[in-house]
Amino acid sequence: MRSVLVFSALLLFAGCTGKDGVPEPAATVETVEYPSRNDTVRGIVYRPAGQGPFPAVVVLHGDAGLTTWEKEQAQRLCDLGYVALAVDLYRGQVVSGVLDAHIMERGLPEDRALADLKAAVDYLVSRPDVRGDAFGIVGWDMGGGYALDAARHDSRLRAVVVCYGRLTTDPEWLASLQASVLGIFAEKDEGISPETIAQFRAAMRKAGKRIADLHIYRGCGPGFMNPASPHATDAPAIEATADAWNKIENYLAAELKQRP
Amino acid sequence: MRRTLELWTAALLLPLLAGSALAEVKTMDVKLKSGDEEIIGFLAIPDGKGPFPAVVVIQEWWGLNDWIKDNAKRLAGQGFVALAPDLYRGKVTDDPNMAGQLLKGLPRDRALRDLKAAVNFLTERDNVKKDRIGAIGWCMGGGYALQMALNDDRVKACVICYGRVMSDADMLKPLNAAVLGIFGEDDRGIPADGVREFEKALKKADKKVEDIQIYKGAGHGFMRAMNGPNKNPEYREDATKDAWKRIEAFLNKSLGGK
Repeated sequence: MRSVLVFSALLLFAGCTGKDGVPEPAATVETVEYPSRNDTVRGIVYRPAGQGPFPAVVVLHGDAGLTTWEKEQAQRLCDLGYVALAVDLYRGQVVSGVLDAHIMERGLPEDRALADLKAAVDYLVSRPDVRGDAFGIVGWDMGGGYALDAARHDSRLRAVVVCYGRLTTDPEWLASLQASVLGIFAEKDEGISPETIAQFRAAMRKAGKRIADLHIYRGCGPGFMNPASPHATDAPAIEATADAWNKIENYLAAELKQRP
Repeated sequence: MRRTLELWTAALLLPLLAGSALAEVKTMDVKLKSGDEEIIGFLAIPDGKGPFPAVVVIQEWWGLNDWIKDNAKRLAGQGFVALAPDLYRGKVTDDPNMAGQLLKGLPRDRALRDLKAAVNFLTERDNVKKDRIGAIGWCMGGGYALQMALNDDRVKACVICYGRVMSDADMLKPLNAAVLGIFGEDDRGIPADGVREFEKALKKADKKVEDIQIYKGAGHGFMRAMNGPNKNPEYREDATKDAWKRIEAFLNKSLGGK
């Protein structure tokens, strides 16, 4: 494999012991580099304990960049038995505040972002501890929109979780999608209306694609799953977040772990 | 001519910001057919019978606000039929939190369909030169101006004001428009080297690049003086004047203005 591994955290081969007495690899977190078009990009790989091969999930940040919160979500998915690759579409930049996030989001070249996401799947494919037939992608906010776009451009992605991210309403645009979709939405999201969600549902049906669930959480605003969001403290957000995670876990298990 | 429901809202005298003669500009809200939907567009028409070249004017993340309408009127004062479709379907704000939600939720396929509907509308008007249609946008709309031109070969001139660009020459192949780019050197989201890569990709794809300007000391959103009721701290008066001069010259050259 060509990519250089930069170990940013523990890489322990001690501890657990396999059936035949051979020590099993422990869980690891490492920063990795891989090629994307003419560039080299970085991501963080969260790998579960054990030999694998594991199903894998690409974790996609919102418009503030790859923050601690997205890293925690990648760790959470790793704890559930997935190799989780947290990508960094902003290539090292993290911002705070709605204006700076906007400046970054609206400037991100879409062709580069989609190339980076294809490169992320290429990288996962190259890992011997990753199953070659079970790739998912989870994104929040801006990342939710890119998760769906990535899956439209990459047939290896079989499960997409869009958390309050941009949808597509044209069935022709969805023709190339090989993944099913789980959608997590917020009732108080001014940008993703119930009409748009209904248009997406109709377009998916017309394109012959499968929706696992599109759930609109009542009383919640966009970003409700992230404590940094102004909506995280809304009364229903805590319960909604727990329920959303429940849906995400069940969905990914059904789509990726239980694949024949 | 296709029967459109035109709601005349005003017929006003617009003092030309460039400082030349006064030109009479008519404005109205019009309905555009986008797929199965009907959306509103703000239309500004120059004085006279035409036919005129035309420009689709594309909103920022705030929505179809007064500043975008002023820009449409300004272009009409320069001899272009200017049409700003309402991509947000009536929603407009000066609150960044709301604007962020509106931008991030906007389905791209729907926005591109609306922009195509705007070109359809223009090509069906007797006072428009059908083969002289351009696009201009700022911020979110700057990115859409490029996407729209890639998606619609009837667009012959494309002005991108601090909008998202791309660097893949192959993906620029469908472009049939000449390009003018207006950027700010201090824009963190669109760094100067990304703009230069875009310019290189355009040239590699053998596209007409009029000019790619990167203004020193300017950041994102520098052409807008106000943020809702407040002054926009990013506003750069000199750069804005220069940018407008280039925009008008470019549109006249590419579309044959007055």
